[in-house]
Amino acid sequence: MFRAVVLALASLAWACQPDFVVGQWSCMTSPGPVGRNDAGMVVPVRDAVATPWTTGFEDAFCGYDDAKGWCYTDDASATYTTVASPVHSGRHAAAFTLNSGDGGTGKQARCAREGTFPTDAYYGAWFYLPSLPQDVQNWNLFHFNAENDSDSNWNNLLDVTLVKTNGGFGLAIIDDRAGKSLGPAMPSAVPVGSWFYVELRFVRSGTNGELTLYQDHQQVFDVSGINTDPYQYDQWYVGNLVASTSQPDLTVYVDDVSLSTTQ
Amino acid sequence: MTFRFPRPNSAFGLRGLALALALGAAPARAQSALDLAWDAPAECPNGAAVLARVRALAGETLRGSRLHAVGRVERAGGRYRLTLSLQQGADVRERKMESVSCDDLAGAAAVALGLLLRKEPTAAGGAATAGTTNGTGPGGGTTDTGSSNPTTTASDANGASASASNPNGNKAQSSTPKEPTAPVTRPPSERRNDETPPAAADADSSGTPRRWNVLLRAPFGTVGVGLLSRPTLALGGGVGFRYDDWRVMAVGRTFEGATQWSEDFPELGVHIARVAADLDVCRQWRSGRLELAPCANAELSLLTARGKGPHVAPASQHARILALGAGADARLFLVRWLAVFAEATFAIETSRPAFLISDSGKIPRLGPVEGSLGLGTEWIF
Repeated sequence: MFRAVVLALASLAWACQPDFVVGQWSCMTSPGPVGRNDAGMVVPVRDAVATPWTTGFEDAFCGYDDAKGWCYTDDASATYTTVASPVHSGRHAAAFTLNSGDGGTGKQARCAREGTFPTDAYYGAWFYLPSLPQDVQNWNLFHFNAENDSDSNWNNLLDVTLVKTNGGFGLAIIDDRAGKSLGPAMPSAVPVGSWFYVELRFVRSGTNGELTLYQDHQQVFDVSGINTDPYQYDQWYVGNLVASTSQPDLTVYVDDVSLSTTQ
Repeated sequence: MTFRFPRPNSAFGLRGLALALALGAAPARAQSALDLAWDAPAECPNGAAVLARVRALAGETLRGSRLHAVGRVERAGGRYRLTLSLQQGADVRERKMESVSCDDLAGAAAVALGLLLRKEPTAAGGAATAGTTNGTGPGGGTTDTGSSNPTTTASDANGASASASNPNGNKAQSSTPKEPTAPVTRPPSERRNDETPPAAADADSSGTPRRWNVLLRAPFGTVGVGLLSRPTLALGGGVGFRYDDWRVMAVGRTFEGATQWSEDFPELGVHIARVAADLDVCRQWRSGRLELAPCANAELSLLTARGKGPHVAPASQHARILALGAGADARLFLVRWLAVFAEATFAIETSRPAFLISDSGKIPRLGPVEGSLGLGTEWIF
């Protein structure tokens, strides 16, 4: 009898499990660019970007929000979210997924920061590719825009892009203004199914700039004495962008994004 | 053996006696006498002892009574059974009582007879019944099996009462407003080891034990484990009453605030404030200064939850949880009116709410059971 009563009560407890929502957390979805003018229009953030800065997505995407950055997708089929696996460190990483099965339209899911970046800084992030697409165009992991006060639009500056190489895809710097790869000419393949580190030293200058690309802390390309960035303000995008692909779901995992003036 | 007393000029008839026995009507006559035939085993008080008790209760009013009584005590298993017959003319009324104590039965018979014969100067409108309480003590109290009224307590016109003691010794009552009465309880030297003297807090103004007490529980501290993800402390107080060996307590508690943290994002949590009302029903056993009581428990908790953490737009929600359980408490009487107690309770929650922060992943659902330990003081009035 006693046992029956206890079991009945326990059943009741397991059966009755109401949920109460006691708050809304704003970090799982980004509200978008935070810079607004008095009329509510989105305007660039001109603030100096503080360094060092890092986010491991442990508070989802509020690391970007706190730094006046944002995350976004350009299509309802694309997503960005946090995941518990795989992670490079901590308990979370970010997953940027594109559903580009239509084989044509470009897609993007990324996070961005903007403002007055240091003249000489290291931009880094850990990436994880669960698989490689058969066909992809302009698959970039980093992207930089730039502008001056007088400009009405952001100008494409450069990318760190995955290009086909022997046995897979390798890292290359693309000069968007020239529409060509700066190098390396024969990049080494990035791993699939394990984390790899991408770091770009970006010396901003209209005449004597320098770009140095590192993969897993090893320098794979360097160019100096060039016009890298004649503008005052920049945007730095990290995530997943393709111009086209036949891959139904193309996911790039990102963790431990960092910006520092020292390596 | 037959003892005879002079009969008074009493009009107290058997019908009135029966009514008195059954319904508590008042005997309205002074001057009575008693013929008592008493037959009991050797270990029982003899007839003279019974009559002495009757005399102590009724005093001089015994003279002139015309009441005939026959008392016979027989062994029945481990108990004694008293058959008490009251006769006037052709009318005979009979009462039966049982007890593990033959002495108790003799006392009960004396009380019944003595109160019937006692002079009642304010008899009009008064009330008196003769009999015994229904003993419920584990040792086997005096049990009245009278045919007319299952529970009869002798009372006089002023509301004073008389009843035989049960083996616990805490129910014996005998008083009259005008005349001294013989105590029905045994003297301390005759008490068994498991008996305790009635506490002053359990006695009325005439010194006889009360069957009830008002209980005040304060302060009262508990620690609960199982409902939330960490132990929570609570403070509270309560009020209740004791009736014989049963106790009912209503307790209110307020708990310290606690936070259930998100399993996925450790900076996020839900702050939970809790108040609870408990109802305990306990059956108590006392030995000396120590009292033990198993209890049934029902608890209604009101939880107020609010999200917390950076980038959280909080909202408050309320949930009520009913928990049913059982436990036990122990009380140590420091003095007659103050005890310290400790209790342990185990309860099953009838619902398990979860408080969520949208999009933040898992926040642990409240536990299905809660164990609680409590400590405090109890004031007995």
